[in-house]
This record gives sequence, structure tokens and C-alpha cells, in this order.
Amino acid sequence: MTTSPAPQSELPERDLELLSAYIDNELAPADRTALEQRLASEPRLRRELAELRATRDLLREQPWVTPPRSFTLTPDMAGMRPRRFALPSWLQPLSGLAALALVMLIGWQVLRLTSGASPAGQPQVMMAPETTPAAVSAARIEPTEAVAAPAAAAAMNERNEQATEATAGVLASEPTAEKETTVMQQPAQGGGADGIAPGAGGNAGPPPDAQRQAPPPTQPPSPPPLPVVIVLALLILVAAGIWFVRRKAE
Amino acid sequence: MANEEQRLISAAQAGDLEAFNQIVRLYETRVYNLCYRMLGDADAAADATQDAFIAAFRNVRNFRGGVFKAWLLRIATNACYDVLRTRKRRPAVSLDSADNEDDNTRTEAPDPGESLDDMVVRQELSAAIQQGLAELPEDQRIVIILSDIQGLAYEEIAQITGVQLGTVKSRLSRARAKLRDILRAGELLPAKFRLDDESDKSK
Repeated sequence: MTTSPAPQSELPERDLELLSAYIDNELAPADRTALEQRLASEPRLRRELAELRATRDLLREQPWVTPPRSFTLTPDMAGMRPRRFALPSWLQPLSGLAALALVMLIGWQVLRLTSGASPAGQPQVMMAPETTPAAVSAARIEPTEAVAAPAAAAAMNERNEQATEATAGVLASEPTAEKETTVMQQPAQGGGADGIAPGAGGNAGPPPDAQRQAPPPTQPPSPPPLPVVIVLALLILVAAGIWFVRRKAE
Repeated sequence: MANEEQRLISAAQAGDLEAFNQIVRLYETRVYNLCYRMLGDADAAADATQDAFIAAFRNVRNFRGGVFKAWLLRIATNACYDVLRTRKRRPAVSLDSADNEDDNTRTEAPDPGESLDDMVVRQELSAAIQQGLAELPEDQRIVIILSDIQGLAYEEIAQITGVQLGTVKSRLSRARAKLRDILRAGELLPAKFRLDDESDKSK
């Protein structure tokens, strides 16, 4: 740092400003004429003008420095990291659909839990496949064994009759009795095999009477089968995972 | 040219990095020179230039017409002010970089017909100008760089620096006067002015 003492200009700042603007041809016509008249009569002003102009010219003559490198941006610099987990474009709307499915599933579950189907509704759901197997398996066996064992078929017919009787009974009682009353009856009929979870008790070893409590096949909105729920949940998990990874990548 | 630039800007606004990089290639020398003159240090100038282009890409969607060059140089000016602010907080860094400055910066093409004396004078002048710029207050320095090195009009300078036209004029005149004083003291003004000066004094 070898700063030589720089002599300060003796001209008033206003004159310097006029001269500087004059050099750049930036003076209003009136100011320009007035300054030119002064320049004609004031050698000091002329010298200042010449020096300022020389200074400006020296600066203009300065060659431009060549940049040491290119400043083009890489995707990284631009905050556009390559997406390692990017979905194909045609698959991307699926993540939106999955989110919708998640909302619908949650909404459906909430509605189900809050609209009268109390926890006891669970046994009804679970019992549907469990209490009817008698009828179902009978129906399955029928085509194969009906010919070979008519007695068995008769027995099965009997069972089917029982099942339909039970169904009719429930159907008849439904309009009058609330679901809860049906459920309330279960512990007594289930034989208290499991005091905590009467439904489960019924599942573990359904007594003959349990068949009478089997929900009717026409029971309104039956929930989707378990595999569908699992597939939905998996889809949602995958979608959420992809969304999270993409968010992180951005 | 203007249409091509507008097309590149629109593409960059849509996120096209290659289009933006074409804009970078158009302006990188100008931006780097602004930063170099403002900071007086090649490494700091390169960093500021890179920062400016990164900031420009991130904000290019906010560019709503007008002169793109002025918009870009305003970002570059802010990048330089950021560096200068950091230097004020850590002055040791700036001294070190100022010492190293001449080692790796001057990449001007030598004139084959230039004599050794001329070359020495030219280098001396160049160093004096850079030194003189460094001694100017920052607000005057940016104005004289934009006007006399970058060759921009007063209106553009007002736009870039965000000040009134009158302020540009007064800052420029003060900067020129100070730089003139420095060059005169170093006897670096062209000889005829020094002779004028002598003859004027002898009167």
C-alpha cells in the first residue's frame, strides 16, 4: 500500500460535476452553453476538463481481464440435483392418486368407527367369514359329495336350513333391534370363552347357536376384503416413500 | 440478438439450465470484470461472479422485462458488496488476497509492437488505476467502474446501483476527480497534461 498524497482538486464540487457530465455529453443544453462560455475564459477550468477527460480515457482504455474460468452452472450449483429416484412421467400422477386413496381410506375408517359401528362391530365383520363357513363349506362340498353321499347332503341341507332360519331371524330382528343389542347378546351366546373379546371367543369356537347370530349375507356396506386394504396401504407407503425421497432430493 | 436473448431468458425462466448457461457465456466476461475491478482480487472476483450467476438463476423468474444486463449487473454488484462486507468483518483475509492479487490476474494480451518502456508504463498505469479504484469509497468505485470501464449510460448505472440520476453524476465526478489526483501524483497522466500543469504553475 504505497499511497502517494493526492492533491485535492481546488475546483468547487459543483464545477467538477459540470465538467464530468460535460465529458459524457450529459449536460442540459443551457448548462452546456454556460459551461462552454466559462471554459473559453477560464484556463484552470480547461485544464481540469482535460485532466478529467484523460482520466476517463485511461480507464476506458484499460483492457478487460479474461475470466480465469467459465461460470456456467452445473445442475448442482443451480440447486437441480439429478433425481436418482425420479418416477417415469407417466407414473407421476399415481402419487397423487395414492394420496387421494390415503385420504379416502382414512376418511372411510373414521366414518366407520364413528357412525354407530362401535368396536363391537368388529366381531360382525370377522364373523361373516367365520360363522357362515358351515354353509359355505357345505356348498363347496355339495357338488362333489352330493352324489356319493346323499346322507351327507341331507345333513347339509339341514344345516343350510338352520343357517337360513338364523338369517331370517336376524333379518326379522334387525329393523327393531339395534346392532348393539345383537352384539350385547353375543357374550351370553358365545359362552364367555373370552371375556375380554366376546367376538374373538365366538371365532375361537363357535357354538351351534353362534350360527344364528351370523350377520345376514345382505348386511349393508361390507368393508373391502383384507387384501385390498393391504394393497392400498402398501401403495400409500410406496407413494409416501417416493414423495419423501423426492422432497429430500430437491 | 435481443430476440435471442429474450428467448434464452424465457427458457431459463422455465427452468432450462442450458439456456441460462448460454446467457452466462454472453455476460461472464462483463460480470467478472465488474467484480474484479470492484474487489481487486482474481479469486474473490471469480467467487463473486459465480455467486452472482447462481443468484441470477435462482431469481430469473422474478425478472419482469427491462434491461437484462442491468438486472444481472445489479445482482453482481450485490455479490461484490457481500464480499466487501465479509472483508470488513475479517480484514486479514482482504489484505492477504490483495497481496496475492497480481500473481495470477493480469491476463491482458501483450501488444507485440510495444517497447519495453511502454510495457512498463502500461503495467504501472494499470496497477495505479487498480490501486486508485481500491482507494475510492465503494459507492463511488462502483459508479466509475460501471461508467468508465464498463461504458454504461447514467440511466443504466442508476438502475444498477438503485440511486437517483443526480447521485450517479455527483458520485462519478468525485470518483473521477480523486482518481485524477492519484494519477497526477504518480505522474501517470499523459505528458501533455503534466506539461500543461507545469506551464500553468509557472504562469
